[in-house]
Amino acid sequence: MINIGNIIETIQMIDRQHLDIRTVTMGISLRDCAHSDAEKSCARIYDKITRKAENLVKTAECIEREYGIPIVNKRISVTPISLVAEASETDDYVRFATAMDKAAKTCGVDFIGGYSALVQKGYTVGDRKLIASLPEALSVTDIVCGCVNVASTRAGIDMDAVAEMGYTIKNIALLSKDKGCSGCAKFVVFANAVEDNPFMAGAFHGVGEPECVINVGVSGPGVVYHALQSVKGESFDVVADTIKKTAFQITRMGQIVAKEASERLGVQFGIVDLSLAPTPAVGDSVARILEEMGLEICGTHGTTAALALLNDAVKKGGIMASSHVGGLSGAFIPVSEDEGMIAAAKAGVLALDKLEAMTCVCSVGLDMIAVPGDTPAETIAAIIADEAAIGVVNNKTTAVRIIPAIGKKVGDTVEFGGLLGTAPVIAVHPQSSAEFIHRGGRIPAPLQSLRN
Amino acid sequence: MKKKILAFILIILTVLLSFCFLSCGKTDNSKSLSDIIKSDKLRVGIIPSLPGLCEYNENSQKYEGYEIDIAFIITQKIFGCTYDEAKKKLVFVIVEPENRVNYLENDKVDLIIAGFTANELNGKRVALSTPYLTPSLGLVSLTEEKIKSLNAMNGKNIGTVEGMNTDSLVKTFIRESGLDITVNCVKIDQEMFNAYIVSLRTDITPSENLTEFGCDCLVTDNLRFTDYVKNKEDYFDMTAVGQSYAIAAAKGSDMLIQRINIALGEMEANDEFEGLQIMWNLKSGAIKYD
Repeated sequence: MINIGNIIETIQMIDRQHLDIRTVTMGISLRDCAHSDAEKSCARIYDKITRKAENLVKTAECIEREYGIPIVNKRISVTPISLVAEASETDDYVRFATAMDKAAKTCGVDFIGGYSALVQKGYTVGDRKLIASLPEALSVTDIVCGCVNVASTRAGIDMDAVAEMGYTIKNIALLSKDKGCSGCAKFVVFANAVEDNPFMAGAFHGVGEPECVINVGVSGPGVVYHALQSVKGESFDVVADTIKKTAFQITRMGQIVAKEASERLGVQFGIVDLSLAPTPAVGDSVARILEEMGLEICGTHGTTAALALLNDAVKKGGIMASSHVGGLSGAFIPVSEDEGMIAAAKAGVLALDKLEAMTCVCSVGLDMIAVPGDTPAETIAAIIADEAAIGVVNNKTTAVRIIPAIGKKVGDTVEFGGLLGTAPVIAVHPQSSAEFIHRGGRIPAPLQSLRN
Repeated sequence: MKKKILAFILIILTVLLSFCFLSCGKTDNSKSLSDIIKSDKLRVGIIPSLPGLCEYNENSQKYEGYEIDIAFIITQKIFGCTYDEAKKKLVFVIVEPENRVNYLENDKVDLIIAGFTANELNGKRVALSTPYLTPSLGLVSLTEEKIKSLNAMNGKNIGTVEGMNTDSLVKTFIRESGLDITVNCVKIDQEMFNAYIVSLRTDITPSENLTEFGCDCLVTDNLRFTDYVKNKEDYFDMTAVGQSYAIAAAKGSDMLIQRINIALGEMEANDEFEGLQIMWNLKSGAIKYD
């Protein structure tokens, strides 16, 4: 039974605690857009996206007004383009990215994801062409995002792809150096990528997804932070319970919006992704939640345990509130997008090794981390390999979104603006990993992959 | 007897089928970065024919020029070694414009750094890096009527080197710029063209008079005229028309090209291209006049 207290509490969550729907993402299958003529394929892609997502922004804005809930981003995810473009007799895949960019702008969305390839077990011709085109594609487009899945628990780690990702990321940074290397913020490398993730830069519409679907990503670190302020000094049992209850409320709101959006657009409802996605705004930080649990500063000893509790409680609370919870669901730790993490990194407490440890228990991985511009590509590849290993062995999604900040050194900062925030450049180990990376081949799947 | 004939036919068929399978299998000539690093050698194809860009110095008995310096920098970056160590790892192989692709396809070289034009046609034959040099075209008038603008080329016969795509570059530029002019192209043998360029600066008379071939002027990359134009009035630098040179590797050598692109990108970020171009007198329009 809803009472006046519940209503006031919800209004406070929205007004003061940064509760919002982070994204309404429409997933669109482009499998029927393949054609041997690349130009015709691009035309089909443009037509289908603009037809399916024609009313997405308008509908989301209507729901925003009617329910008083801010919907921060409206996005589109599409079938991995390497699968669609492979039928075309062309080496120029950048034109597919341009078609996506143009279609997304016509629809008025914030981002479009799916300039992607899945190469955990090796490359097809299309995968190879798409990966080679990534630096140019992400530098000539504005709102296209891409990802590459290089590992899975079932397949192991494709170390050739891992090595190539190191070079790709460096090249993306070099080509977008005039824009603060922001091209790297639109690209992520995955292990165990999920097919229904509504969050960028890793959103794509998986091959097991329906023709068109609505996925919703909710947020709310600020709400959890405020809830924990009321249980100061209590045991972790109480902390976990409080987070669960809060996560339930947040997810319920996401469920309502997702249901409304799918009904109004006449599109199937996919999932609600309950992720505590921070923003650079004060009071909307995952790091501050961890500190509220009793840590002097995020990154000190105990941080991993605190994050594990938070991640688990969020999922447990969310799962009761929606019939379909999916995507990445958990707590994100993107350094540049989290005011508390920025402060911890600037203070030198939050280092790369600690962040890596935290990714063992959070929902994704090393996210929005700036490293010195002269970091060798092989070192970046080795960071990806470490992160992929964590994902593969623990049967979870892990990711790396790293920015080699060209011309910057440790202690400098990189400004991305907006939700992408400010990234302090943090140190990497200077010792070389080149020989390790140049071995190539595949790291076999772990024993737990043999489950049948 | 029948059995012998059948056996003979079977042997012939087996040989033919084996040949077919072997031929079919030889499609991927891509070079992996790991293989190069393991071999500890980088074989680079060069054409030592242009001062400043790439030539053999008889005095020092070394190859030198802008492309040679780039080859050394790429070697240092790929192997993470010093300049002295790069000297031992870098192997220069002389190639010709006509056989460059063949050398890559048959694994005789790992890279070509020899004025490989970055265009769509070449992109279909080889894997290309980002550009390391973008020279503009230069024009030398051969008749009394001096050509000093693009419009002045109207109705003229321009001599271009056989095997290069200068003519299509000029025509494409004219079309895309909306210029209301037409030019006729005359293809000239590479040797004859080179002899004529040498004659521009020296007293050596070329064996053929190009005007007899109907040429009003010669057009090619302005690098070819560096140090060769003695009469300023004859020369016109077509700064608006140019094409980029890129490093080439065998088709499919994606990771190798990615590594090279990083090296070239870092050079650009550090203004190293500009420094080298000034050093080798390759800045666009940097033709020396007597």
